[in-house]
Amino acid sequence: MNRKPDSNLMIAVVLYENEREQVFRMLRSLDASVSQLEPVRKAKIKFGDCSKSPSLTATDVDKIQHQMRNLEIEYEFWDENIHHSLGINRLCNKSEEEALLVLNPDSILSPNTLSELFKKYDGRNLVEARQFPIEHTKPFDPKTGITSWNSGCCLLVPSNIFNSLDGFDGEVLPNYANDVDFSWRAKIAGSDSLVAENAFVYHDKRFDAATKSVAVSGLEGFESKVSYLLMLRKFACDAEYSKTIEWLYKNSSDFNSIKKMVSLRSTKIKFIDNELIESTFFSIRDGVYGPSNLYQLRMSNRDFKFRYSRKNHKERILN
Amino acid sequence: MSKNRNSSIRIELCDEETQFSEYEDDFSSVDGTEVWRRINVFLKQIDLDNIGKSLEIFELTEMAPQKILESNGVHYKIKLKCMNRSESGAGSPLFTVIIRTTGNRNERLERALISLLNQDFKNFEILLVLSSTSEKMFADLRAFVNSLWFSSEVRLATVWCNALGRVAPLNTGLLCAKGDYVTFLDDDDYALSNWLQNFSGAIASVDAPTVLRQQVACANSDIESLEMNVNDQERPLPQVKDISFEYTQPWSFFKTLSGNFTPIMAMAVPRNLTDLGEMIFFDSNIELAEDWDFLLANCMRYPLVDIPEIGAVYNRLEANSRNLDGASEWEYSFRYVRQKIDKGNALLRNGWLTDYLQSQQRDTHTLGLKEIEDNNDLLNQQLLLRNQELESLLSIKEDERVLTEIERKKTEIQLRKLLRRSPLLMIRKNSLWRSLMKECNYE
Repeated sequence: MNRKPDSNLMIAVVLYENEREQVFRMLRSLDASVSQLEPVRKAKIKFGDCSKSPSLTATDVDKIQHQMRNLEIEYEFWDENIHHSLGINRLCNKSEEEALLVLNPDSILSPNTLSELFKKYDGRNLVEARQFPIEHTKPFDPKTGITSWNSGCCLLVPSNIFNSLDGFDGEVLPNYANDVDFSWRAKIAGSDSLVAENAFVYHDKRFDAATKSVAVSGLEGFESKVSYLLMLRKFACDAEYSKTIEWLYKNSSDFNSIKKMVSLRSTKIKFIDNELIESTFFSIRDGVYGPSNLYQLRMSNRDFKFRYSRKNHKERILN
Repeated sequence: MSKNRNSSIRIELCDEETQFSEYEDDFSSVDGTEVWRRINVFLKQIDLDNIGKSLEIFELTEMAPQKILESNGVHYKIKLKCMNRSESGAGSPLFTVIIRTTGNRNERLERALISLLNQDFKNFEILLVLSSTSEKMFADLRAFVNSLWFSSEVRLATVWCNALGRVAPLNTGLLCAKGDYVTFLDDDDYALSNWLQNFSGAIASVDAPTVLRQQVACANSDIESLEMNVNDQERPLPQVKDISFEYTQPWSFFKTLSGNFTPIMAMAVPRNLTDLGEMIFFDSNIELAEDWDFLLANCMRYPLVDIPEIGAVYNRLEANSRNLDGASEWEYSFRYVRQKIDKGNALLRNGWLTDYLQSQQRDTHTLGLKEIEDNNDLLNQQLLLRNQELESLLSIKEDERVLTEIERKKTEIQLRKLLRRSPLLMIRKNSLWRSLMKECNYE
């Protein structure tokens, strides 16, 4: 099914202490990308700012708005940090546009990124752009684009799917793994995770030379472990949950804090039915190259590097 | 290499309105590299004070030979835009990033350029060198670059190298570069945002021109995921199968003699600012392993700082290694560079490698990479002993003012002996060492 040519696009971006120049650069690239959409598509970008003080002033917004040829900008300073998941949900709440683009503020689009995303977009499935300079090493089917999960860095979502799933899980996964969780819930509901093979988005990531993995801050490392455990609980992977707890107890100095945070957020988990989980895993296994889900978590968490190799994970799921 | 026929080049040095200087030359019988060399010489001769402006950096914005038909033949006109130092990051060294391209994969080039937009270090220029004999391809590339939304946000010049191959555009870039340091990025690779910052941060710790080396991650692509019957331009970038870190090993000069562990984007070299004749160029006798040879040549002349940070991603396609022509070209290039190493150079005496392997009762006629690697540990042990010996000599001589003339002479004699015995000496920062090397014509 092809997309409707007259549908509109809303782009949702949550800011947190981002530099103005970085945001401006992202906007200029986005504007150039919108201009390449055929047929012409109306696009609006909404910023929700979780920073301690406004990242953009009214003058900034006016200034950059004047440079935009195809993009309408809305900026809101929230004066509280409601985190990424709830922020995106607030921005997308009751949106009238047919398609939503969840975008990171530290991204830069190529001029053809949006047009390539829309080539894959069919109004039913989720479509993400490939990231560079460090690309996720999850495989996707070169013909269908089907993959095992979606990253939320530059993700095109049909509005009706987003609304029917109540958006991201802000209670349990406020910042990390919310995209993996969202795409899995979408899969269960019948919307597949797709990669647009020719759509690329720059995402500012670096390597940690010591650990040979993507560099993460202390908070990101902590949140990754917490999110991983919560995902295991949410999707009822009990045996794996127990093993991970055991491993963290032996190897992680912040084990107590992790466990405390997991307990706190676990009370809000809406557990997913086992049958659906099973079918999700099977569809991943049968559909493409095999599962590489949670790879993002592994990539962003140096401590899990040795435990959750792609191969082992595949074997674990298949068994 | 094709020649410019019946043509001259007129170079105008100007800002938006005023022309400051002009240079015209007959290039009817010279190749593209020579054209750029002469342009470079001309630029160095300009007396900035006479221009009446405090212009220190010349940004090449219009390197496209603009054809002007005149009665006495075809002329080419090249405009140079002047730039104030204050506009371009005063105080920090200027880096030139040379990107070679064949002009047939602009979308990949675009991503390489985007990866440069977000650099932490801002004082750099980009020289995009097209290797092509087609004037139309150059016009197309310029049109493409000018159409990019960020074209006005970066210092980017497009340069035409009127020759094919991988090495010629690099040398053209070196001639056109204005930076204090030059580094390289291929049009299908990516810089991380800390790439140039890693280089510039290392310069702060040295007081002399230095070769800079950092680490590079390798994105290995799954070529089987592609339809192979589409042309290169239409073919999407293959999926990244895994990311490996073989180019993140610490620097070892000796290991580098056995093979290349430093991709081209992992190095930055000082550009000789005073004498063009002293510049080190890529060896045009080889088409592959040119970066290996270039790195060796540079670190024979300059000390090297190894930066323990990963600053770029090398996109490696498995298809390259499956190409038989490429494999044969690689074998030729590898042997060529290895022979150069064995022939001797600034620090290694002629035939040292062959002699050494003979002394180890190795068959030099079948000398292969594996054998060199097998001997790596033994050689490194010897090297270590030599270096310890040298260090013990140099450690008490750091402050030359306390040396008596006799002590100095004794040290020099010992150093000379060591130099004759040692295949390689690693310590080059010491001032006494440097002066001795110079005296011995090793520089």
